[in-house]
Amino acid sequence: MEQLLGFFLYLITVTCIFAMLAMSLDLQVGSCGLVNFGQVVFLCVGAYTTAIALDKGINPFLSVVLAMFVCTLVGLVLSLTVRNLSGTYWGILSLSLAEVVRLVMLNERWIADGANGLSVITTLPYFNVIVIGCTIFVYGLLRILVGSPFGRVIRMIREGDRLPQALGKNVLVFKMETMAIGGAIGGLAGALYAFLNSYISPDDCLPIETFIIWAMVILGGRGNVTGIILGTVIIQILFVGSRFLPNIVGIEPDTLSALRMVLIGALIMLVMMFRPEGALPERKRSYSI
Amino acid sequence: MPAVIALSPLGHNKTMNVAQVIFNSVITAAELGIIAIGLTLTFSILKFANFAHVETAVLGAYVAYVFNTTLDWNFTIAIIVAVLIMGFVGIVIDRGVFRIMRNKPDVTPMIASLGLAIAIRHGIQAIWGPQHVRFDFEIHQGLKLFGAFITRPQIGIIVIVVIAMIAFHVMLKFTRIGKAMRATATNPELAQACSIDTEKVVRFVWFIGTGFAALGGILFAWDTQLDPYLGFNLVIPVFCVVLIGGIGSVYGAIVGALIVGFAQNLGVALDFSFVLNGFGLFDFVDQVRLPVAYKPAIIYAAVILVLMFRPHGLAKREML
Amino acid sequence: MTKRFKSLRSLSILSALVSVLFMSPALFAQSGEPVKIGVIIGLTGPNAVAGNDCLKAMQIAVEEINQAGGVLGRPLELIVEDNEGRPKAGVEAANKLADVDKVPVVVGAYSSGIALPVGQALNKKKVVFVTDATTNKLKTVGPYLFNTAGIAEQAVALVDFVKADKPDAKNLGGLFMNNPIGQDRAAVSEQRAKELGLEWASNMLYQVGAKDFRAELQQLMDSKPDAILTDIYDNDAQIIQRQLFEMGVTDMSLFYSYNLSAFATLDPKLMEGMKGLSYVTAGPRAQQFTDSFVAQHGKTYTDAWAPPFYDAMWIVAKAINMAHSLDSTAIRNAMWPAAYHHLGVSGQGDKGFNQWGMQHGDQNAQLTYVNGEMTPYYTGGSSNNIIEFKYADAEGNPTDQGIPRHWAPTEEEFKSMYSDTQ
Repeated sequence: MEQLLGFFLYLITVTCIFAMLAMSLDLQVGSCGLVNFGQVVFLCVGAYTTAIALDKGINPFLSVVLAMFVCTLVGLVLSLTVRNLSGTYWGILSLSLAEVVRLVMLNERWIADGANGLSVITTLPYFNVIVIGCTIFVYGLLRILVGSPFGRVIRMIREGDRLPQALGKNVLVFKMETMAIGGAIGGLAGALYAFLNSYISPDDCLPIETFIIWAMVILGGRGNVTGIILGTVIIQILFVGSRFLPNIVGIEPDTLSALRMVLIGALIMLVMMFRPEGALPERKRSYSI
Repeated sequence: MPAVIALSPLGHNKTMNVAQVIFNSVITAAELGIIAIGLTLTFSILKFANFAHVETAVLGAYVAYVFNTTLDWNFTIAIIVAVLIMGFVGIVIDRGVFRIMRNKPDVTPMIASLGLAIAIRHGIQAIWGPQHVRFDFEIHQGLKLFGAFITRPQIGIIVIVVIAMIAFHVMLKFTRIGKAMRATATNPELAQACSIDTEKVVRFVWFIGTGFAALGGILFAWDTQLDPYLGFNLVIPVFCVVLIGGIGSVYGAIVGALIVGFAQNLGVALDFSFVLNGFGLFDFVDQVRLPVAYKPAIIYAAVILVLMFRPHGLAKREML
Repeated sequence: MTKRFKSLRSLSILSALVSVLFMSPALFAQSGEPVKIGVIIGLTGPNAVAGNDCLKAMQIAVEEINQAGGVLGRPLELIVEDNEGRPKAGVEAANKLADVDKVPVVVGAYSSGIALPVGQALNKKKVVFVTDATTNKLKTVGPYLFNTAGIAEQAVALVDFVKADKPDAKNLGGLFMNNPIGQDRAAVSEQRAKELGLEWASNMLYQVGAKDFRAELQQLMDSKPDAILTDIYDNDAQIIQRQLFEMGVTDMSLFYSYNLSAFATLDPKLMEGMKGLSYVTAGPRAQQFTDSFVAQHGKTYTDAWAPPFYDAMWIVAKAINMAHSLDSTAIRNAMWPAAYHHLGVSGQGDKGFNQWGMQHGDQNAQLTYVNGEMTPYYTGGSSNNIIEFKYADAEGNPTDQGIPRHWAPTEEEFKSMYSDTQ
C-alpha cells in the first residue's frame, strides 16, 4: 500500500511539474496570444542549468534560482524575436530556436556530455513538498495576474496589437514581461524536472514534449488557469492510465503498445471534437462601467 | 557572398561537386514541396495548422506499397490509385474530424490534428509493423550527368513533380474550381455571397491536398525508404517550407522548398575555409565544413533569417 | 457560476472514475501464480525495430524457462511497458513497475539515453535492472544495475582492425549516429586513432531516422578518407548503402563497421567487401537461439543487441531460483553466481559480471561480406578472427574489472565502489 502511495506521489509530482510548464505556456498563448512552439526550451535550459550548476558544486536551491534566472533571460530574448510576426510564424520561429538549443546541447559534448546527458546526484530535501508548493504558488500567482490590469492588457494584445497601442500601452514591454514570467515559471519546472529523474539529456527536449504540453493547455481550456491544471491531469491520466488497461489476450505487446498510442491520439481528437473550448473555457469577464 | 566566391572557378572549393549539390537540392525541394502544397492549402482555406498532413503522406506511401508488393501491381498504377484513394481519405478525414470544428478557435483543429497524427502514425505501425519496407524495384547505380549522379527514381520524381505542379497551376488559373478556391482563400464570406459553394471548395482542397501529400510520401519512399516514422522527420521541414514561403501561398511553398533544399545541401557541402583564410590571402585552415551534426539546424537558420526580414514569409500577399 | 461549478465537479468525478477504472487491475492484482518481471523497451518511437526484436528475444527465453519448470516452480510472466523512445515515459514505466506491479527485476532499455535515468530510478528503489545499453556511465549507477553486453570503453578494436588491415591508411573518416552510442564510439575511435598516429579527417554524426544522407555522404567522401569507420542502425544502414551505391561509390572495402550485421540487405552487391566487427552471437548456444528466432518470426533479428536480452532473461531466472526468493536484494546477490555459471548465446557465451555488474570482457568477430554473407576475416596472418577486449594492465594481466565474479561484492565493497555517486 505504501508503495502504491509512493507511485501516486510520483504521479502527482510529475503532473505538478508539467502543470507549471502548461501554466507558463498558457500565460503566453492563452492570455497573450504568443504562439510558443518552443516551450520545451524552458524545460531544457532550466534542467541543464541546474544539472551543470550542481555538477560544479553549487547549492541545490541556488541552482534552481539560477535556472529560473537564466530562463527568464531566455524568455526575454524570445520576446524580442516576436516583433511583428503573427501567430504561427512566430510559432515556427520559437520552435526553431528551441531546436537549435537542443542541437547545441547534443553536439557540444564539452557543455553537458552531449547525447549521454548529465546525471543529477544531489537531491532536494522534501522534494515532493517543494514541487507541490511551487505549483500552488504559481497557480495563485497566475490567477491573480490573469485577473489583474496586467492580465487585461495582455488579453487585449492577444486580440491584436492596435487597440492597446491606441490606448498608449507599450505592447513590446508587456510581451517581454509575459515571456519573462513564463520563462521563470518554465525554468522552475525544468529545474525540478532535473531533480525528478536525476537526469537530463537532449532526448528530454524534443519538440514532441512541447506539443504534449500544448495538448494539456488546449484540452484544459486556454486562458483558464484552473482549466490548465485539469488539462494536465487529463493528459497524464491518458498516458499513464493507458498503461493499466487490461492485457487483451491474443495481441502481441508490440501491436498493443502501438494501439495504446492510437487510443491516446484518438481520445485527444475526441475531446477536441466534443469539447472544443476545452474542459474549462475561459471566464468571460464583465467590468462594470 | 562567400557562396558566390566559393562557387566560382577561381574559388577555393576544389572538392565540392556543384552539379551533385544542385541535383540533391532539387530532389529534396521536389519531395518537400509537393507535400507542402497540400499543407499550405489547408492553412489558407481552413485557417489551421494541420499536423496530420504529413502522416497522410506516409499513409499514402503505405497504400501504394500494398498495391505494389502485396498485390503486385505495376508501380505507376499503384501510385495513381493510391493518390486517388488518399484524396478521398482526405475528404473523409475532413467530414469525420474537422467539419465539427469549422467555427471554433483555430487551436482546436490544430490539437485535434495532433491527436490524429499520433493515431495515424501508430495505426500504421500496428498494421504493418515498425520495420522499414521498400517498393519493389532493383537498385541501380545512378546515371552520370555533368559529373554527378542521379538515379532513375530521382529522374522520375522530378518529372512527376513538375507535371503535378503544372497541372495544379493550370487548374488554379483556368478552371472554375480553381477560381473558386482563390476566391474562398481571399475572402470566404464574399465568396459565399457570390454563391460559391465553399463546402465544395473545402472538399476539393482536402482532395487535392491529401492526394499531393500521398504523392509526396510515395516519391520520398521511392527515393529512400518507408517506415511508420517517416512523418516524424518530415513534419518540421515541411512546416518550415510552408512558413518560409508564406502561409497560404502555393508558389511561396515551391520557392520555400527550393530554399530549404539548397540550404541543406549547400550548407553541408560548402567549404568555408576560403572565408576563414581571409578570402585566399592566408592559409590558416585546410578544409572547414559545417559539422553534419548541425544539418538539421540549417533549416532553422533559414526560417529565422527569412522571418526576420519577411515576417509573412516570402510571398507578396497571403493568397494563393 | 453554479453551471461552471457543476461541470467542473462532474468532470473531476469523471476523471477520478476513469483513473480508478484504469488502475483497478493493479489494485486487485493477485500475487498468486505467475512470477512477474518487468520489461521496459522501446516498442514505439525511433528505435521501435530494435526494441521489438529485443522483446522477441526475451519472449523466446521466457518460453524456454517455463518449459523447464519456470521460476520457483511457478510460470514466469513479463509485464511489458513501452518507453515510446522518450526518457520521461521510461522513468514513468519504471516507477509503475516498481511501485504498482512491485516487480523485483526489470529487464530492458536498449537505448542509453533511457537506460541511464531508468537505471537510476530503479537502483534507488532497489529493483534489479538488467540492460544491454552501452554508455560508460552505466558502470557507476549502482549495485542493482547489470549489463549483459559490453560498454563503450570496451570497443576499441575497430581502429586496430583497420590499422592491421590497411597499414598505409593515414586518413580516417567517421560515420556514426548522433546519439549516446554513436558519440561514444566516435570519441573512442578518434582517441585510438590519434594514439596510433592516424589522422581523423572527418566525423559525420548523422541524425538517426533521417532518410536523406546524401549531403553527409558527399562531405564524407570529399574528405578522401583511406578508411571509413562506422556504426549504424540497420534502418539507416540500408539507405546509406543504397545512396552510396547510387552516388557511384563502389569500393565498399573502404568501410569498417562496429556493427557489421546492420548492413545485411537484400542486395549482396551493396555490401561486398565491407568489413567490420559484429558483436558476436557466437556462444555455444547461439545457433539454436538464432534458429528458434527464425522459426518463430520468419527472419533473423536485425540487431546484435537482441541476443544479450535473451541471456539476461535466463540469468535473471537462474538468479531467482538460486536465491529461492523474490526479494530483490537476494536476487541481486545471486546475479553474479548465476551469470558466472551461465552459458550464453551472445559474445562468446561467457557472461560473467565483474564487480560493477558489467561484462568482464567483450568479444567481437572480425567479419567481411562475401556474396551477401558475413564470413570470418583474418588480419596479420592470424587464424583467429575473434577480437577480445580484456581489462588488463601493461603486462597483459587482467585487472579486477576483467575478472568475472563468483559471488556478489560485499556491502563494504559496494560502499567504496559507489561512494562518489550515492
